[in-house]
Amino acid sequence: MTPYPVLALTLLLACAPADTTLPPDLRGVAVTPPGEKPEFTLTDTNGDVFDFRKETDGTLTLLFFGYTNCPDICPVHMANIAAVLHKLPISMARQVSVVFVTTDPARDTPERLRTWLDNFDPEFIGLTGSDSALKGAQAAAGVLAAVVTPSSSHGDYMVGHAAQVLAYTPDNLQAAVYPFGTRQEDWAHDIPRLLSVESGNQP
Amino acid sequence: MSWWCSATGQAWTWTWQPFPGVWLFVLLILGSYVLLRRKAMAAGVAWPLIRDTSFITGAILIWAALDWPIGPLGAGYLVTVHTLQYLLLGLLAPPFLLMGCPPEAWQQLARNPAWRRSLNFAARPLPAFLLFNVVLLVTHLPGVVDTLMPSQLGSFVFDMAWLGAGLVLWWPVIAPAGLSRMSEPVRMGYLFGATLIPTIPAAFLTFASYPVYALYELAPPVMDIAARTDQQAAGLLMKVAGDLILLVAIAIVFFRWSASEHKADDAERLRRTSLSRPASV
Repeated sequence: MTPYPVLALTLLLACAPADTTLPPDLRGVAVTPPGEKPEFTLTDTNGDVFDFRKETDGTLTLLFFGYTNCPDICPVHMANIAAVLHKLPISMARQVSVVFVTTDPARDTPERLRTWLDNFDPEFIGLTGSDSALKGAQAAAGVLAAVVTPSSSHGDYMVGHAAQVLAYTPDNLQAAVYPFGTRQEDWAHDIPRLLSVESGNQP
Repeated sequence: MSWWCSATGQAWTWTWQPFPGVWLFVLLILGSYVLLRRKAMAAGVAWPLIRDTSFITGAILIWAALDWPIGPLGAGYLVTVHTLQYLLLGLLAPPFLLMGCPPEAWQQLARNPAWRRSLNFAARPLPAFLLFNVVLLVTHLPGVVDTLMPSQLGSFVFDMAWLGAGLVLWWPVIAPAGLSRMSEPVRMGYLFGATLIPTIPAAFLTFASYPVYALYELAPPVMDIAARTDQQAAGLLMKVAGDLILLVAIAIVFFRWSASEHKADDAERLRRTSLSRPASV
């Protein structure tokens, strides 16, 4: 057989779109086919511009939209992820980026956001921005935009927001979605598996 | 308004909430005691004030364990408080309730053949020991806790299981002569045995790598207490406080036994002394 058909076949395979193979036993809800990591730019808690796709490139990224006055879902998600990351080897934990985007920019100033996130892990990234930028980020991530709901007590308000954590593997593809109710043992099971996912490779 | 405390999934608030089912239950206990007391006293049984104090203490402990804030905190927010409820209902309140009746009242109750059979059977240490520990282990299984605690009925079943098992555990120790089957040394051994099985769930809670109860892990946080920290504290509380309660009871049984032995020795010595004295002429 002449080398040219073999060469042609090899080139054809090399140019084919990458196909991330997710671990079959993920406890999160696998996204098939995996979508692309969204692109949006917001402001971090230092007041610096944060290009989400660029800054989290090559890491396992856990993206969540919430707010610091959230009584339940947000602190539980953050606490559970932090608890698991703190038990992982440092080399593994460093490959994970946890990004918390506020859906309540009026009350979640960068300072408040930083203080709140530091309760869980000082490495957690907090992002804020204008209402339109935040709506755009949620749309880019494919989640419903947050809705402000007046609370019955003290003239306060609640913010209805997407309750799931979106997980993007290091190859910048969306791997899974983790709804509220995901437990620490689920994160402990999935995070190492997600870290091992590379484009076209078996876990 | 809820009748009984259960896990609601709502954010915790320090605003007082009424649980009328708890109040009715405590009133039922007190009302039953008053009726029993009245009947016994009418039959000539002396009823010292210390007995009333003991029973009321037991009723207060039950009320504290079930009502706000311990009730709802234990039902749906903190494993530590859930464990405190177990200690109050299963280990602390029952002996106070049972000691609220003088021995003569129990013996008078036992004149009824049906009551006598029940009280005699309940005084058997082995079934009592087994029942208490089976209830303890089953009510600490994650599946059971996560399934039952979110409903008022399930939470009620939990609380009654602990209280009932506690009464069953303590009756062989407190049952008066004629109904009890255990000597004092055996009672002490029985109480010591009761410290052993709780080590199993306590160890799971203390040493598990991750929270074992989804209910408490996913509950809205209270005072920023981490789920695993709460669980570890619960395990330690179960073991340390539980053992302390039982060890105090062992000490009380020991000193009472020691006092009665001394009294018997003194009486025997007096009897021999009077026999050895020559009769006066």
